Amino acid sequence: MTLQVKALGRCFGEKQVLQQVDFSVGKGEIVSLLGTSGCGKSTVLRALAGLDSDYEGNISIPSDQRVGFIFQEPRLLPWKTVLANATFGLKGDRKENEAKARRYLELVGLKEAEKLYPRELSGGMAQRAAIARALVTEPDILLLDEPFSALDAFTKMQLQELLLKIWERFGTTIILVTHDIDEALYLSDRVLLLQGRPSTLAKDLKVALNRPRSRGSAALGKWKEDILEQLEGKEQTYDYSLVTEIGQKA
Amino acid sequence: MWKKLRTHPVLLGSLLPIVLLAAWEILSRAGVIPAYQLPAPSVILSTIITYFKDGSLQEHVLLTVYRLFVGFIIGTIAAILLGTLVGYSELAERFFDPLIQAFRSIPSLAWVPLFILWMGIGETSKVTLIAVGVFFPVYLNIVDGIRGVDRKLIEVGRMYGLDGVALVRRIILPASLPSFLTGLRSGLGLGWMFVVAAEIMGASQGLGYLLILGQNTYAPDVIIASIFLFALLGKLTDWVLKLIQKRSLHWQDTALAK
Repeated sequence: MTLQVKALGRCFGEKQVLQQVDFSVGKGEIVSLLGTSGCGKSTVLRALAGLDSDYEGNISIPSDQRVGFIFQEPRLLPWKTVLANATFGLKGDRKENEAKARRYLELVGLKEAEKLYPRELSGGMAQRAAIARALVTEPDILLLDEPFSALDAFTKMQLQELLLKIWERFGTTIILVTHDIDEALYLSDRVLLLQGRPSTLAKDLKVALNRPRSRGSAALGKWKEDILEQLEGKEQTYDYSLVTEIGQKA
Repeated sequence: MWKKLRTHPVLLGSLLPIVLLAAWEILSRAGVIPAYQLPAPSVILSTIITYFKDGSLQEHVLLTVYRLFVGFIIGTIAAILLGTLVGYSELAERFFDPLIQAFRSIPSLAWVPLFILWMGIGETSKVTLIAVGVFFPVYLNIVDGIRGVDRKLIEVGRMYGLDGVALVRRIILPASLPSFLTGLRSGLGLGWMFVVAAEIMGASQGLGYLLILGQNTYAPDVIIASIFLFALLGKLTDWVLKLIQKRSLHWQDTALAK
């Protein structure tokens, strides 16, 4: 096991957002954390990344495992060029770092853009640059927080393919937070469904399907239906009785 | 012709000053405006040339610029040190900021008598007064700038193992640079104001001294020449800072960055 989470919980003030979440991720696995917005899936990821330390429970990541993080927004440093952003996480000799960063920029398809500043990039290019920045440090575990949710459908598909290419090439362990069921099913070996108030782990779905997968395949469709059923069954987003009540008063 | 006037960067803006100058010259020469109150532009220009030829103008200008420069540097360094500390550490803010804010509410010219009493009318009191004037806008802008740094960028830094000094150096300072440069420019503006005050309060040289000299010798041409030079130098130094600002902030994604 590369990463283990035991009885993870998190309170914001009085409000318990997350409760008793247990899971583990094996080396080289792609695991998605799926859930509606506000269910605490990003909270899990931030705890894993060490960006949040006020959680309950236990997280164990072997100390030799380097962790990389890709945010929902690119979060490039606006005063640095693409190349300088890509070398941001590296220490030591500048020339060597730049040569290394160039290789990863080429991998994400930004070879020609190294001298540009973030303001000159499109959304997709900026997110590619952010991916290169994370990859340059050669992470063993890559954490992604809804990394493609702000992109258009086509760019999103391109970057999903890129992520799979990276996974094939480096065998990186990937944990991806998403609210997109199709994305979770297309990319992952396992889908963890977070649900409830406070959220608990409602489902640990193994997506036993070889790659390359077909986005429209019947098997994925079936799983999607299962997940939707699960979401509709338990997640009552609106209290409809309240609506009628207000209606009657008016 | 009209189109050229409308689109040219300086033409339209210089129209009014030229007309006013011409009117002023004509009215002065015709004797409508008494020369002992407002001499003609040509007279003022010849005053400047006279001072320039005997070398005293250069000395006055140099000394004024020197005082401003030293005060500006001292005020800025103090503001950087305190501003960074207060902006970065909440503890430092609670410790220093109330006192600094209290001092800020003292109109800086009110320090003049005290500084003269403490340090005499020599260079020290002048430079100190200028430094005090420069300190506050720079300090406030640094604190604001550091406070305003995007939390998301700080998280990026932490994700790559930065903290303490490294985080300040690699994320916080560059991210607050725009605000710092704005502070420098308004600090410089105040610096010019205070150099006048400092030189009026007693000096034997400098542009501010020329103002007093003109007043005491009934020479309005000297006063206006000195005012003109203050405006020219103020504009020039601000232009230098503006150039630095433009150069170092070319990465900014704003309407002005073109």
